Amino acid sequence: MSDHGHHGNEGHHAHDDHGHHAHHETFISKYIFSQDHKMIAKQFLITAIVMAVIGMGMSLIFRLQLAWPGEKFAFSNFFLGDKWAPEGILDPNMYLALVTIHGTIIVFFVLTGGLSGTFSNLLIPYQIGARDMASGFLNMVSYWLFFLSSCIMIASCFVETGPASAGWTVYPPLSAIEKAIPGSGLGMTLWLVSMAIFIASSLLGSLNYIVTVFNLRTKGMTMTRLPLTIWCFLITAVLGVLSFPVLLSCALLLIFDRSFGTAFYLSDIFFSGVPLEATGGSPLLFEHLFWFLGHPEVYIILLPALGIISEVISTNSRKPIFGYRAMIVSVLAIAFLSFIVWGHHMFMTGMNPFLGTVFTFTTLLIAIPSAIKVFNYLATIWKGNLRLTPAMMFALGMISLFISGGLTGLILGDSALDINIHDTYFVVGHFHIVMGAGAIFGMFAGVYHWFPRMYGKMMLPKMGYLHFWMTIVGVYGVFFPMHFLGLAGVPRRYFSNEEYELFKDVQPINVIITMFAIMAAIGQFVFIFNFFYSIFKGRKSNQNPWQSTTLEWTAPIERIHGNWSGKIPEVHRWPYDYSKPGYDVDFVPQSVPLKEGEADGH
Amino acid sequence: MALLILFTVVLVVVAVAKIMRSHELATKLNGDDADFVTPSEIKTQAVLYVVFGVVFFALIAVQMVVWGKYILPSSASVHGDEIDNLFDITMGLILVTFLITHAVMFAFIYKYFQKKGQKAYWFPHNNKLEMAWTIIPAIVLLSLISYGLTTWSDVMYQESTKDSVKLELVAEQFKWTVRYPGKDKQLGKVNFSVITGSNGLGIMTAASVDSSLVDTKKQIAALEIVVKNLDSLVNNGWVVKEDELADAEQNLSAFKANGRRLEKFILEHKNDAAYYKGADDDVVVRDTLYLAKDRMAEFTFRSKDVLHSAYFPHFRAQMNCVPGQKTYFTFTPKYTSTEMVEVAASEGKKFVLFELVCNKICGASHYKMRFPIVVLSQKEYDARIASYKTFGDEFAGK
Repeated sequence: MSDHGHHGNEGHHAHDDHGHHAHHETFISKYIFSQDHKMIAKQFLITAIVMAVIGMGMSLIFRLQLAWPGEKFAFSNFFLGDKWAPEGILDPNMYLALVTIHGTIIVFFVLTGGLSGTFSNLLIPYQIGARDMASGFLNMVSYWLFFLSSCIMIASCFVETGPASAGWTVYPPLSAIEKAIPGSGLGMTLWLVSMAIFIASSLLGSLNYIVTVFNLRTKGMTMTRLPLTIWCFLITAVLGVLSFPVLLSCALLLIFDRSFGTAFYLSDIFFSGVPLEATGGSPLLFEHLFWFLGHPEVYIILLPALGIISEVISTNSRKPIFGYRAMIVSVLAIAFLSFIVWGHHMFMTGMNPFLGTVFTFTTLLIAIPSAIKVFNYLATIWKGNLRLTPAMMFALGMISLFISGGLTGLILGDSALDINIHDTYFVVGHFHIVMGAGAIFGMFAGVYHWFPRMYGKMMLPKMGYLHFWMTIVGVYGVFFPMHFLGLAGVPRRYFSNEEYELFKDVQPINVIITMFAIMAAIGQFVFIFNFFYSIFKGRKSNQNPWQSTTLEWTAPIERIHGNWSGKIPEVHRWPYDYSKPGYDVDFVPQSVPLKEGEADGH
Repeated sequence: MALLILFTVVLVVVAVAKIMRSHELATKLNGDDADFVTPSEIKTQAVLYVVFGVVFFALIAVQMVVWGKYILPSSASVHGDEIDNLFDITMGLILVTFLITHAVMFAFIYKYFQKKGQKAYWFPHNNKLEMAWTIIPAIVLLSLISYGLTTWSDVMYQESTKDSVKLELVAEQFKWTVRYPGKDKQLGKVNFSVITGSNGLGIMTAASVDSSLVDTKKQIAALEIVVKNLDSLVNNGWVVKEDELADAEQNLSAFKANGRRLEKFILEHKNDAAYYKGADDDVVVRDTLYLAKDRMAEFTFRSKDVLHSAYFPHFRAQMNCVPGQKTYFTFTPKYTSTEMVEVAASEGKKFVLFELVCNKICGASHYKMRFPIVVLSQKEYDARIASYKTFGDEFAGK
């Protein structure tokens, strides 16, 4: 392992000189077609913020409809126009479209592209002591493909028949038969094109992350001296490389079914008076292919966030992360298991019940490494010296969300219990808490923590706290009551619950949820204000504002191509020497040599 | 109006920015610059976290009390009791774990927030502790898994009983149709190629197969004319008709394929009366799903177009309806609809009627795709089903 690290450093000498070159950068090469990992990270972050605002805005429009069905809202009419919200009353087709695009944007563009793109790019070279990514060019291509796919996804919202509206899982035949729903026309085609480009972007990014971590670690940076952030980013990238190609094949076959008359997913369909010619396929094939990506995807979203909070919690507890090796092993276990649990999304699809047995078993096993992680976090804050910065507040909030959302997973993962809550609001509550809000909290923790590293400025702490409280209260206010809706049997993706005798009384819950959603949305503008205000007017930060041990804080504040102006620092110890006995200061950076007779870390 | 709102928003943002700026300058003057977050701020946040924890727990209790009445009443099917039991145990376990871990977290935050002179304890790992919290969850989970899997196989592999009824539920945008077996207790065969206006489920009798071939040929003839007309229009420069032409050609090709399938089929099963057995006396019901108390209902599900899901919340039953594939679920109703009112009332819950819910996104009117369910006593049930015409009679126009 150490051999590897050394080798990486050797290979960098040629690059070293490159770092010293004072080559002229134009506006375009510096800010737009930049190959610098720091700039690319910022590009990903800002694109993700824009996409998140759009995704959140969509959720507000359909939340208004769900709380007050049939009411007129100028808000909806302003954004959707007279076609999709005549007089401000949402059209049922547009409702489904908004639900679909909201899910797609948040899952893929914010929490996959945005989260990994921002923090893997920013932190991998910095924390392993590399001058840049293995391939700056591919990294740039990865961002621009991401940008292109974002643009296509947004553009699909403006086509005449509306955007894709078969749910973010786009199950055929609904997504394959053009006349089954207006959104399955051009909107669906654009969705598929956008996703294909997105997958290319994600693969280029992931390959780059993997190669960089394996090859460009500085001298002394063995695998067991990597910060947990890097471990999580690395494993996330491996998950992405193994699962996204399957989604691509899944999408390609759907494109064939839609446009070239094949029948991979279609069979025995009699639609609007016509027995379709395409027959002999199976919708279950799509579901298997989709969820073979879909479930690892959950961890592609979650693991980077867990990596970020590991770092934030340790630094701000002034205490080493508890059980560093156990953390690595549990992340590896989660990653491995995530590939053999996809069937728990399909217990009720008509799959052989025996498969349900297998998938229940593997699914519930994931709770073990997850429990280890939670207990290790709690052990980390025990007897710590908790510096409750806004980043730390979000990190602690994420532990809470990870517990609450993870536990309800025990119910959903149990096939027998899934029978009665499958596709109800119980599911919506569960995954929004654990993977939606959970990962967003990790992302916020990362932004507050590494903002000084990105922009050389500090964010306003008071606004950070306000943002945190509005967000956590909003998240629990929105998603906790949804469990009650689910237990009442209310299905997800319903435009209105008034058609059923069974659901007539639950409306007060929906009103409360929408109120909290509005509050949470207002809270996000506090963040956006804070973010942009601090970029331009924020207080200058010093080089290592959080007294942290990792390498990114040994680099100078000003942005230079190559990160360090002199030699790349050498690493002598693991990344969590906080409050180590024998030292007067409560942190010892990784670049400080071990004292004589001092044992390394753990 | 929109402009005015936009203008106000911009003004507010600028005002906030100015206030923040002056606040920043003021703190700088006070000399607080050294520490980014002040000790008093940290203390406030720790206290707020505890307040949040207390309010959070209290509100969860309030939600349980106030919204408990919305949770579905106890199971109206026999197998559902085992599911409810498993649910209660799992939920209890979850709640306890949730409360303990959260209480511990809030306590740690309050006890260990940063203070002057406090030093963190060097505690990088502890094998015993880590073993403990690997093994304990593993044991708890393995017992949950084994109970869960027992329940799952009890529910999914139910043995037929002597008086069980095999029935079929067919989904299409946006309605349900149910088919009961006749006196022979067997459902006749079905095929999507046989579906016509008067045979919406594609039930196969010698008569219905023949008539659907006649029907298909009529469609082909009609479409050929449509295609010819559209073709000449397009050739004369009516570009707008191109889509219509493509549609008609596609439909024509689909009906031709259907015709070939039917002809081949009729040839294969000529004089094969045994093949068509059991279809004539089937009963098709389009308005309500009738079930009998204490009589096992063995469902087969089908879909004619897109995915749907037959969800019976009261009966703890659900299964997707998949085009091109039959899916199955079996349950035995425990109470008649009238009895259920009292059962629910005894738990402080409201019950009006059993409903079948479509639970897989299937199009714009997905949210309206409901079907009432009525559970009758066995005698009433038999009488009710007997009051409908059989498919054979209905098809022959009797």
